[in-house]
This record gives sequence, C-alpha cells and structure tokens, in this order.
Amino acid sequence: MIILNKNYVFPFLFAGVFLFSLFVGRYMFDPSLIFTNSLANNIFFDIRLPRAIAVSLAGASLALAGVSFQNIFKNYLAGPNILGVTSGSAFGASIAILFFAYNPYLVQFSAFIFGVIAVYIAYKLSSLLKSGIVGLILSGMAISAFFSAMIGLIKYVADPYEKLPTIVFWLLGSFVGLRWVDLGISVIPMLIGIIGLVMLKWVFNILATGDENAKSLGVDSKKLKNITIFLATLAASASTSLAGMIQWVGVVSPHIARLLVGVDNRKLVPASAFVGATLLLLCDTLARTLTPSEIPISIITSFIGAPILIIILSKRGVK
Amino acid sequence: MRTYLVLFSILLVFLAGCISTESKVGDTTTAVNMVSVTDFTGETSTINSPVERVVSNYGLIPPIIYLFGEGDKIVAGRGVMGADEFIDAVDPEFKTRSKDIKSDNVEEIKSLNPDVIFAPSWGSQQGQYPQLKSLGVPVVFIDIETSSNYYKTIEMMGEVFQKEAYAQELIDYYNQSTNDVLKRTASISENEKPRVLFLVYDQKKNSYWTPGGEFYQNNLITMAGGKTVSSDLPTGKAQINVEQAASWNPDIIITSAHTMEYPSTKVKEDILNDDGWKEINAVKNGNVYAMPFDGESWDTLGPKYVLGLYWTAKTLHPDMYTDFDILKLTSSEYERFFNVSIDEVTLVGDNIE
Repeated sequence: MIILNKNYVFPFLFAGVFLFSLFVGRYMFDPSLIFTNSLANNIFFDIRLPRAIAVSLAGASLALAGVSFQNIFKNYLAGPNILGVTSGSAFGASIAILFFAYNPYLVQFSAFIFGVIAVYIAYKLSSLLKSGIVGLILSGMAISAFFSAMIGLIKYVADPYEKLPTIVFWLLGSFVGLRWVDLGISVIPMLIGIIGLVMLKWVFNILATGDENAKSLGVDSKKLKNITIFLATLAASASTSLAGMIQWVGVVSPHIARLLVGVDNRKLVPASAFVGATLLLLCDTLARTLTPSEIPISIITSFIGAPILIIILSKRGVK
Repeated sequence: MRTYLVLFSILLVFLAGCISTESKVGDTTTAVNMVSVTDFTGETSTINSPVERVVSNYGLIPPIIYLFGEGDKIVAGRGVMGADEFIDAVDPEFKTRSKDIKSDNVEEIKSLNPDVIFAPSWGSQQGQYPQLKSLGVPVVFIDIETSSNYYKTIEMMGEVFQKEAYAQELIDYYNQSTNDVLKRTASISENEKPRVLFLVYDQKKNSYWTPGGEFYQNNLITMAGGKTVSSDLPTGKAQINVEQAASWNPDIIITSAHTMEYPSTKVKEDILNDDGWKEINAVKNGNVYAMPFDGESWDTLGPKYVLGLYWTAKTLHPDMYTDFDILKLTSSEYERFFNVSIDEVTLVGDNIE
C-alpha cells in the first residue's frame, strides 16, 4: 500500500492541502459550480489557482534554502536569511517603493536583484576574512544587519500616509493580488532553485562528512557549496520579490521533515520542499480567509512556525 | 482608539480669549496677541497671533492652509503623498519655500522658529512632540477622519489665522451644499440605492484598501445616496482581496489614488484589465468610476469636500443631477478659493466633462 510508506506522506499531504486551499476563501461557492458559474470559475482559475501555485513554489523555495543552509553551515537554526538574502530583497523593495512606488514590476525586480547582491557582498566579504564557513556566517550577519539598518532608514524618511504602510506590509509579506502574469516572472528562478537543490540532495550527505572525505570521494566541496548557495539565493530571493519577507517557514520546515524521514538528505531535501509548500499554503489560506482584510503572511507564519520549532527542538534537543 | 480620541476630543473653544500683554522694548510698545487653541487631544496651546511661521507634519493640513489663503506662512511640510500637484498649480513657490521635513527632528524644527506645528493626533504620544512642547513650541494635534472633525479644523484655522468670519463662511457653504445633496437623495428608497465599493490604490500591484467603519469615504457614499459595502469593517484602511469584493459583489466601484504618477484613472484601468475582477457586477456592467483628481483626491476631507460630494452624488444618481454642471462648479471654486484658473490645473477622473 503506497500511502503507508512514509516517504509518500508529504507529497500526499501537500496534494490534499493544495486542493483544500483551492476550495476555501472569502467568497464561498459550491465546488460543482466551477465550470458552470462564471464568477466561481473566475475566482477559482484566475485568483486562487495562480496564488496557490505561487505560495507552493515560495514555500518550497524557502524550505529548500533553509535545509541547504542548515547543511552547509552545520547549524540547525540557520534559515534562508543567514547570508542576508531576504534582508537584501526587502531593502530592494523598500528603496523601489520609496523612489518608484508606481511601478510594481520595478519593485519586484529590485527586490530580486538586491537579494542576490546582498549574498554576493557577503560572499566576497567572507573571502577577505579567509576563515571559511565561520567567516561566511559572520559576513552574512553583518550584511543582514546592514540592510536591516538601511530599511530602517528608508522607513524613517518614507511618507507616513501612503508609502510607510506599504513598506511595512512588504516587510511582513503578502500574496495579495497575485495573478498568472506575476507568476510568469518569478517562476523561472524559483524553479531553477528548487530543481537544482533537489538534484543536489546526495551532495549534502557527502558534504556532511567533511571536506577531506569529500575530496577523497572525488567531490569538489567548495564548488558544490558555491553552487548550493547560488541556487538557494536564487530561490529565496525570487520568493521574497514575489510576496515580501516570509518568516519562519524556511527554518521550521526542515525540522518537521526530519521528524518523519530522519537526517538522510536524500529523503530530507524533497520532504522539506513538500513541508515548506504545505505549511505556507495553510498559512496563506488563513491569511486570506480569516478576516475581510488580508492578514500579512508573516504574522501567521510566526504564530504557527515559532511554537512548532520550540516544540520540536525541546523534544529532540538541539544537536 | 481613534474613535476613542474623537469621543474625548473636546469641542474647540469658540472665540478664544485674546490676552494682550504689554512689553517694553526701548521706547516702542508692541502688542503681542495670544490665541489659545484646544486641539483634538484636549490639550490647549497658546499661539502667537497672527501666526507667521507654520510647520505641518500632517499631509491634510497644507491644502487647508492654502484654502485660507495663508500658504505663504508654511515654512515646512508637504501634503498627502508629498506630491502636491494642486498646490504647485496654485503656488509654484511652495516646494522651494517650504522645507520637506520627513522626520520630526527637534532641533531642525526648533531652528525654523515656528509659531505653531500641526501634527496628526495619532502621533501625539510618539516621536519628538513631547520634547518640542517642553521647548515651548506649540504643537496642535489634529485628526481629520470624520466630517465633523473637518469642520472643527476649519474653525480652528479661522482662529489661528484670525479669519473667523471666513471660516464661518466656509462652514455655511459646506452645510448648504450638504443639505442640498441630502435633500435630493432623501427621496431615494433603500432598495434603489446602489451598493458601492470604494477602492484606493495601495502602492502594490493589484492591491487596494477600502475604508472601514467611520472613515469618511463611507460617509460620502451614504450622503450621496449609495450603500457602502465596507462599512461593517473596523475603522481604518482594510486591505481587501478580489474574493472579498466578489462576496460583496457591488453594483458600482469608485477608484481613488493620491498622485498624478498613478491617478485614479490608472487604478480604474488596472481593475478593468485584471482578469480577477472581470466577473464582478460593477466591472461586468461597466460601472467603475475614477474619482476626480487634481493633485488632491476629491474623496479626502479637505478643500474639495463639496466637489467630491456633488461628484459622488451625480455618479451614483446621474438622472437626478442632469441639471448640474460639475465642471462649472469646479471652475468657480478654483477661482473663489484659490485664485487659480481651471486651465492651470491638471484634472483627471470620470464624469467631469
């Protein structure tokens, strides 16, 4: 029986939640009306479907970035932002809102570019420090702090009536107003990141044994780490540019996946992707359904993600 | 919280006491008049009168000061969104004369030596205001979220600029116009009133906020003979999605925005071109209307109050206003209040031909 095999739990769970989210929202209709009633059809295919796909991809992207960084930095509390990618993206969005608030595509593009730039600077900075992984974490922290400070500065000078609420909403994330056309732009870097990281799943096990071991197995660990960082940055930056900053999902999803499939990356990496997608779908469904107005997504993910992390870590102990 | 403030905000002291103090400076005697003004937080400030130097930290205030013909007294401040296209048309000097103070830096404000600072009442406990007060700079906190507060603000400005008669003239004009619109809409039965959704662009693609509860736009629609769909939401800006709009399924949508770079007409275009909205009644039947924008949106409580009211009433009930020429009224208001010709103002929006 295929469902009883625990490797298939996450894909099935994801499929279930995905379908469920398509039938839940502020506008309730009888599911049988999807093909007969034009309003129901419109809400289902033009509003919910692209949004659910975007949320799934963003959730998978963040979880994969999380699990990759947790592996590379051998730190179970690492998240997508360890090298400053989401802070950089948020800064890119904020600065674009401040100067070109009326061009949404520019805001998205600026967010994506600055996410990549932030990681690039952190990476270059760490090679100056010449202390390997520790240096990378330190420079990541510094870059993250720098961009957070820049965001603070932008918030300080932003027009308090219109632009500031927008920037704040952006910092808390939201998938509101997402259509097929928006998906078209961000889907490519997210898919490259997701597919690439899932294909690299076997590499993480080798990297975990240490650089010397990896070398003896004929694996260029430095190069693979760089490729991993690049792919994780691409995916996390694209998802941030789509919906703003989404907290916790990237850190928590790999922990939930570990509970069920263990620490073997060949199973853990794809499982993390499914958990991330499922978790973010649940959170986004709540965000758009609970109240007449949209709730910023990070409010929900923090409410759900933080306690889950505490429970898991207290049960298992921080290794 | 805001309602709370409004409840507790004390009615303004009508004719503030004028206290004359004699001060000897050499041989000459100068009389300094002091006006005491009670603001929306219930605090009373004493202001040198007539004021010569004004700092505004509240975007809705500069247009009102221009309405009083006192725009040249503003030494620092910007309007809503800082775009100020209308004020630029009235007074091209504004942007160079008035400093753009985005933050309320105490020393910077103090060095401008203002007679009065206008600030939004929800900021009264934050930032530098307590410090400013301790430095002896009068800070007047204002809240213009409801019509009655707007009237109070007009009265207050009358006192501050010693133009009480003019303030009364404005209020009479507002009352008379409001009553005229209400008289016409009184005959409309409840089920003839269209259900209206008011959407304001939220600076993010396909993202809009709608007024909740006591926000003025809801009152505007009610006065104009419509039923606003969003009045059950809590007061404030509520960011809604298409599904929420679909579950209300309004007959009419009115769009609004706050800068020429992205005016209400552009927001309307976005909605008409966005597949997500195409099945909602208002969009299907072509009943999406862009709120006129001349650098100030006519749905905010400010100098365009009467224009916004007539426009909304005519938009919701065109058959009742066939005799009414909105452009003529606009032109005469521009001349009367701002001394500017309609040809010098960029005006966009629907139903203004």
